[in-house]
Amino acid sequence: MRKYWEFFKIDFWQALQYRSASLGKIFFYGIILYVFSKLWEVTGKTENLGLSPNTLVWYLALTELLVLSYPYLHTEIDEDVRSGNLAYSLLRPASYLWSRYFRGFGSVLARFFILLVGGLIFPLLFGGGWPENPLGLLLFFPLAFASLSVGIIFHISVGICSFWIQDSNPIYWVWQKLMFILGGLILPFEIYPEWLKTIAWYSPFPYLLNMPVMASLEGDIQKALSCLLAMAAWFVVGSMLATILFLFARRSLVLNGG
Amino acid sequence: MKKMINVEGLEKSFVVRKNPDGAFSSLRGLFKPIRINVQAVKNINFSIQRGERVAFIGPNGAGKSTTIKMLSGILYPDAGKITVADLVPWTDREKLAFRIGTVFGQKSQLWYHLAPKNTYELLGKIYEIPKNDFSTRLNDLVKTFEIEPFIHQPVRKLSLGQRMRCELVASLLHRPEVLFLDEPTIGLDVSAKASIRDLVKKMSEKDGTTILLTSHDTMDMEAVCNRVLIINQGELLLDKPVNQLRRLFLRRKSITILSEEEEWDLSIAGVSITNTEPHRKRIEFLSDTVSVEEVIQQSFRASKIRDITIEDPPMEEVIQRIYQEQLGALKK
Repeated sequence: MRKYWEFFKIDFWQALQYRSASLGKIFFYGIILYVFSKLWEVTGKTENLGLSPNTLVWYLALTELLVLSYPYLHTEIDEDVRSGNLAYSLLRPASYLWSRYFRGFGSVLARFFILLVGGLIFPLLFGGGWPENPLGLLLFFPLAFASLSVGIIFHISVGICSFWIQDSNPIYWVWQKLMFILGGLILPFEIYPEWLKTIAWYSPFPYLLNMPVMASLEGDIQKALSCLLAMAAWFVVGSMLATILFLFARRSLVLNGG
Repeated sequence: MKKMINVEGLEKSFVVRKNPDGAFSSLRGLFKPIRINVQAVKNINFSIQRGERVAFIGPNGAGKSTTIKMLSGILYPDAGKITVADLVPWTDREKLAFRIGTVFGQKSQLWYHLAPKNTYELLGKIYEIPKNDFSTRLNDLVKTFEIEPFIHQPVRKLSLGQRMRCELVASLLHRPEVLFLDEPTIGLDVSAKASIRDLVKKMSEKDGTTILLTSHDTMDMEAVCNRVLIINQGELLLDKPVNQLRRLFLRRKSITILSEEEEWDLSIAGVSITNTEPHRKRIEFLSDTVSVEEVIQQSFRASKIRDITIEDPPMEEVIQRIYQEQLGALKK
């Protein structure tokens, strides 16, 4: 296990090296939050969204924080497959899949902590203060770590698909858009039509964005625990999917070459 | 002496998809591609003793990398037997990983944005090297490979020669019994190549590491190895000590001289001028009849030299000569 902790550390530190990229992301994050805060300020005066403009800004701040934290893990795996590095990684006494997972988790956490600066300052500036239940924000940290961990395992599965289709970007694009819609990136589920909510709860996406963020904003410990349980189940599903895909990819690799 | 690598009747083929000829070939190829069976390795047999340094050479597509991939356990062979350090590579890959090291000239195992030191620490944990052993070994390698001045610099800021020295250190940290070197000097300048060759040889002699080196550059083979295996079109053509190969096939040398003078004369018995252009001469000779030193000294006397390049015959020519020799032996 210690070797995987080292994988985590090395990518955590490597992700912190991209200072200008991190500043660019914080800037982009700030712009999104400013635009939407103005939109909800105006919409909130005419429409009943069920939530206050302040909650909506905090909601978007936290969901965007999660989404923007993900590294382009699938493209790194694409590159490993295309360049043949995947074959050479098999020469190390460490699982490729789990080393990728811990590297990805290290990278996502580094980005999360960088963006967190903006994630706390921007909603205070644009949303008009702390959320209604500020202590609930403490719940966000364990929920966010669990959510990112589950997200990473699915990103790895997307990346492994490049073994058969050469470029996993189209699959990633579909995954990302489903995450935005079914995960409730911009608007909470509370204002979704019933049929869309039903579909969404059969997927992992609401457990990656909507539920952890709403549980934090509401300070609802019961909801947070249910969310963690669901995420654990989706982690098992995601790990199984990644393992099966990787076993097929490795079988093809050792039989047919890189 | 103990056999470190043993290969018997090794075979490997790949299926390559090809589009049919004619109109709409790409579209037809999508639905009904032509499948061609390419035999990459054909009935190869050899064994390597502990501590031997063996060059595995041949032109592009000869089957070198496929064989190395099978030896390291990345690829399954279609037929034949392999043992490396008494292990079967494709069934004991994880165990074997602790006993072999690899350097691939065109790939890097170092983290691009981090200092080599960080990668070494990671590799120390991956290979489960005890902390004290790790420090001693790293210090030793740092001194031998002289990487102290840049061990803390991000890899992206290193020159290719510096990076390759760091790659070698990375592959030797866990004291591998066998080291696979695939084109370790590719892209390096003359002095960096010479330094890498010296260091590899020195480390192998010191630790008793068995080396299997693939390269296009015959100088790598001459400087590092004591035995050579030549492979072409998947077949093992030749298995000889390096000094025999040199005597038989690497005698011919080519020297290209760029001079200040437009025209100048050079007349040495046994040396022929194969190409003359203004300021440039290409000369060829057999090194056992005239020494390189003598040719260069005479050239310096005859002209003001701006640049000089000494070359061995290209690998393709060596292989062609081996074929001719084998054909001649068969006729006899």
